[in-house]
Amino acid sequence: MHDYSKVLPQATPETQPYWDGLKEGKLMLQRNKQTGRAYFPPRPFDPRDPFAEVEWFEASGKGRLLSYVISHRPPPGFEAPFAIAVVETDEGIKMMTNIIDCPQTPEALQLDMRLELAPTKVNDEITLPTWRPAKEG
Amino acid sequence: MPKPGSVAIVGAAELVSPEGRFPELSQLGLHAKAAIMAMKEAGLKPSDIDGVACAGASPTEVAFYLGITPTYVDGTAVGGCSFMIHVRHAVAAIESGLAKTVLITHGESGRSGIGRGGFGFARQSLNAQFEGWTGPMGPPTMFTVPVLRYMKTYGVTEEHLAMVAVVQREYAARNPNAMMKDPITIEDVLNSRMIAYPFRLLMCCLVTDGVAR
Repeated sequence: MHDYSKVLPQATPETQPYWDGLKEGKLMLQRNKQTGRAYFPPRPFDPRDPFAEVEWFEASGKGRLLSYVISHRPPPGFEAPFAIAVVETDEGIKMMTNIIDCPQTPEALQLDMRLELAPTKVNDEITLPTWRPAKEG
Repeated sequence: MPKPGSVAIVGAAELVSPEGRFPELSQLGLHAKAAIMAMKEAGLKPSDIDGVACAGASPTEVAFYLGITPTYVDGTAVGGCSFMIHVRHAVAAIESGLAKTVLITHGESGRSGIGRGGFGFARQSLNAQFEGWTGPMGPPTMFTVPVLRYMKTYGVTEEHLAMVAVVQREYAARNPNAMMKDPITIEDVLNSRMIAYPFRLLMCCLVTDGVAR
């Protein structure tokens, strides 16, 4: 779908476990140890309570399609049309993504449809958290 | 001049490293770490803070990262004295009722060079790591992503969206300086080229050179 001539992410120490997890096909998120509530993007504290202890955990990799646009004006490295989407994971965090293995049409992209994590490896450093329609629930 | 006793500094903190390095934190992380230490000292939570000021980083990004929803932001950046000006601005903001509690931060990964570049599209920025790679480019794809959800929740149709452009064109027709003045219909809008579904060409703002005084 992409040739990745675009600007790619680079981890910081705070986000390294997130990007390392994706390399292994896992979605690593963080949560408040007391409340159990997840937050995103990764940082060493919970923005709802910065004094609480937090921990990394492996998320389900399941979610639903919250919203999107289908861009017909591709920036470098993209082929139009392509959807820029927001997925809400079952842990309740929202993340921007691209939806792969799916026609990039309003008919195929129904709001609230179930999605599953389908990471796209770009190079040895970066695997992007792309999502696709869920095969089951 | 502020009235004596009307505004106070209630907390302050600094990170100290004898080697002058914090290799475990990005520049944004340094802002946040110092802010959290100052909040702790002052006995405040992010929800107690309604103003954020910083230079170098974007105050809205620092606020987002810390879980603060500000009513007042100050990004005055005039070099090393920016932060003294932030203090003066904060006093004025508090006295005039724009904010009750203002957080002023500074963070600089000057030696380690992690996540520098604040605003922009640097690869370690929040933008590049969590948004930019998905491909938004310009207002039609940057501001529009939540709209389909809004439409589903509130029963807004594409015709409703088109009506906004129709009415705005009516206003434009009365403005002698407007670039496009010919009336348009909902059909015209819905038949115009798709830019970023559900947004079509005539729903997008014009790109112009502009100046006002």
